[in-house]
Amino acid sequence: MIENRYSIEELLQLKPSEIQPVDFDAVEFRAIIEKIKQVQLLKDEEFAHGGHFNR
Amino acid sequence: TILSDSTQFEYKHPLNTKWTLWYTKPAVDKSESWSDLLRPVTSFETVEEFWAIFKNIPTPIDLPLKSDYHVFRNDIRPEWEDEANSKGGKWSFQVRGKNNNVEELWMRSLMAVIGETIDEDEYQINGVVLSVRKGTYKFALWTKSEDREPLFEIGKKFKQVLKLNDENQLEFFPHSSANNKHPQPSITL
Ligand SMILES: [Zn+2]
Ligand SMILES: [Zn+2]
Repeated sequence: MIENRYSIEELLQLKPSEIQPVDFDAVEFRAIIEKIKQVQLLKDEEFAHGGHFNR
Repeated sequence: TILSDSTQFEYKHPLNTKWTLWYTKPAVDKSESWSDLLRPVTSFETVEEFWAIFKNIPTPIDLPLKSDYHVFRNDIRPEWEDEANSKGGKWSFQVRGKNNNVEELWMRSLMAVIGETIDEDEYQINGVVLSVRKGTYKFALWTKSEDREPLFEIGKKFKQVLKLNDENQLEFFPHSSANNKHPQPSITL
């Protein structure tokens, strides 16, 4: 049985305006993601310049 | 005094079940296997915890390519091999091109799933997935069965959540076809 149902409107009303604390390491999580983006960017650059090296 | 400490009595809005956020990290080198890449991030059981988490993590457009967010009920793993998923499938939709209010659609999908406004009276929905791919964002609603009758109702509601019109088709893929090279949807809506 589904007892606790919330419409999208109700959930939006409960949305806080400030950032609240969480009980996992969100700072580390965001850092990991930033790191992956940097690695992907570097790989893309290598790929874009690959033509020179292959010649 | 205890009475003046309002935080002690702060009411939290319970969700119907526990949910877990999982993240699939893109492979940066070939030695990484799928099990290295898919990890649970955190779990939540109240509306308040849900908001705290989703205000603290990157939004879809800030995720690297080949990332997935998965939000699954209880301890269901976001894999079709999980017992809870094995007889089910997914309603799937792709948003092509840049942004196209992907963030809003992802938040609406999450709210509809954890608020249980897509499920009628049985737990048909196991979870929801967002996949970031080149030029496209894929939304998928994972169901526990491939019974057509509840699926039509769920699909119709999911279309409303994603604000789709008649030209935008939602497709259902049973997980049993996940190994096919070119899986065909068993239902389109
Ligand atoms: Zn160059
Ligand atoms: Zn309330």
